[in-house]
Amino acid sequence: MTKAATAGPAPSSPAAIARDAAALAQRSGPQAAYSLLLRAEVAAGWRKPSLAIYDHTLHLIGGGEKYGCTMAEALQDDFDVTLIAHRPVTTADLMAWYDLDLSRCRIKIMPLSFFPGDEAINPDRVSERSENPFFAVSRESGNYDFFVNNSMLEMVYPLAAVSLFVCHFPERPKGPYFYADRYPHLIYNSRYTAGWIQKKWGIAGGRHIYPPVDMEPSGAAAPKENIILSVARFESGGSKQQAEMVAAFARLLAREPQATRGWKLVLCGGSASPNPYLERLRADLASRPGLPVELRVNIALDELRRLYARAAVFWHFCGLGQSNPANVEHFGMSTVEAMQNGCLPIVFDGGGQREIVEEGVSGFRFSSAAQLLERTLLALREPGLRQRLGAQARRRGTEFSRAVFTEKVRDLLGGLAADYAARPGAGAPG
Amino acid sequence: MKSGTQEAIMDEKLKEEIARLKDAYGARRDESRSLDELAGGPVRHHYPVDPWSLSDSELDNEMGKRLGFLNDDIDCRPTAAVTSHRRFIGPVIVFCKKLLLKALRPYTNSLFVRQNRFNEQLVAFHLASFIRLRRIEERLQRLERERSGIDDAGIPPA
Repeated sequence: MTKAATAGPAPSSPAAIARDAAALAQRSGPQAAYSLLLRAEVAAGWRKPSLAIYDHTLHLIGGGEKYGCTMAEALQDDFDVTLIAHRPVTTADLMAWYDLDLSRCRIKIMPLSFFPGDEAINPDRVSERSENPFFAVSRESGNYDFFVNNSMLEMVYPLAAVSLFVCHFPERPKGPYFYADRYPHLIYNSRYTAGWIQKKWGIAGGRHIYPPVDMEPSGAAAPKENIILSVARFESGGSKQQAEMVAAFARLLAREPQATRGWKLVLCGGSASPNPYLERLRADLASRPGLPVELRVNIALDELRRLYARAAVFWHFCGLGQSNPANVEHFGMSTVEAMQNGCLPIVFDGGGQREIVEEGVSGFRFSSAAQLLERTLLALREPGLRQRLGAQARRRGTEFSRAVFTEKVRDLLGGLAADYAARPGAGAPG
Repeated sequence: MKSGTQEAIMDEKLKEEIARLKDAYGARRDESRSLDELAGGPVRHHYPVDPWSLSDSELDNEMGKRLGFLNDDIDCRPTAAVTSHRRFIGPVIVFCKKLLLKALRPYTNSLFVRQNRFNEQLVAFHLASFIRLRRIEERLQRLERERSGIDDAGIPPA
């Protein structure tokens, strides 16, 4: 990771600032001089530092996007926050999607001609032969004191005085237009992600901040019902493995009819339309009449809360049988949501799930189908165990709350802002 | 009181100067066409991809991308216009080059045609291999799933 380009500003006299800016422009270009002037304004206390949070998929609902928006909410009182997106989206949309207050933030939409119309903004289309469509974002980043790249998009070169790279997983190898190592600060969402950042990009260090999860029930805990719940997006590639869940549940019912009597599997999640994977899943369920499996697609947040409150057991398969580390859950927000509601989690033993579920204490982890069936049967047969582990899961879930996230974000950015605004002698940020 | 007023005046002057400088450097910055100019020095933009370090899906992506490049480069006939940077004798040089190229075209064309044909076959062959590999992989994944016990093809007997 590189150091920030600007030195400490000294807004002592007009002549001095003009001299310093000229010297910096000569040495490091006009952007460095511009950043120095921005910093001088903050150091003089004339305004709050400006901060941009960039996300190339801000217009879509997702865990990574929620991470960035929750950062914005945490920082909007101390910074002048702008959210940068490429497709139309409003703060009202984001507030409704993630139940956040973003009233003091603004949004800047920057269309990219490289991805016209409604075409997906897919960085995999960029190669060393093409132009870098994200150069426009680099240029824009230079207009702010702080720039947060919440896109894990390594193709954006940061030009702000203080830049942070939030990585939810290093999705692409180190290749064309790779600038992730140009950010002075790295934030990662799990130790699993940190390991892969080092392995794939050779970048170590950074700050670990787990994603914010806020699904804790507002009132008293509702009585649990015989529901095995799964909450995961119906990915077109099937990486969340709902089909495998149906097969496993069917197998469980057939093998242990006594223990599984009265239980049902509820598969809940968002889906784009059309979704061939979801259609195949529907067809599969139609071919198995009588199988107690319910599909709940794109349901409202309130309905999801009620389902979490009622479900006794939670399944998460993502990563089972996968050879690609990107297809293993990098963290697992829905697992934490279930835990905050006292569901007993039974999850794949890999990726970020290992950091959430303490085996045998706050849930179970499995690495094979046999283990999954054995642990699920154990949970189904013993209500006392379900209750005990569910209570531990609830306790564990509070460690990933929005309050914890907000505190960590404010602590990190508050420290950087104090350094940034300090007069000479306090040291340059970065 | 007096020093407070002086400070306020100085602040005002500083604000004005910073605003002026921001306009000036902002304009210079907007004129910069490349990232290297903006960053104030040469920037390393690309890293060679090490295929051994890639996961299966990354390799898929990489193969698709490279195959696309090969496809773009099938036609290897020279396309760049004949030019010369010399001010006075430039047109003469261009004329001679064009003449030479025209004279040689019957010979070079046969070579380029053969090379183009070879390139087309090579790309077609690679594409077929790629598809074949994908099918084998899908089969392998299905077999692995069946072996792991979560077979979505049907419910095994109790």
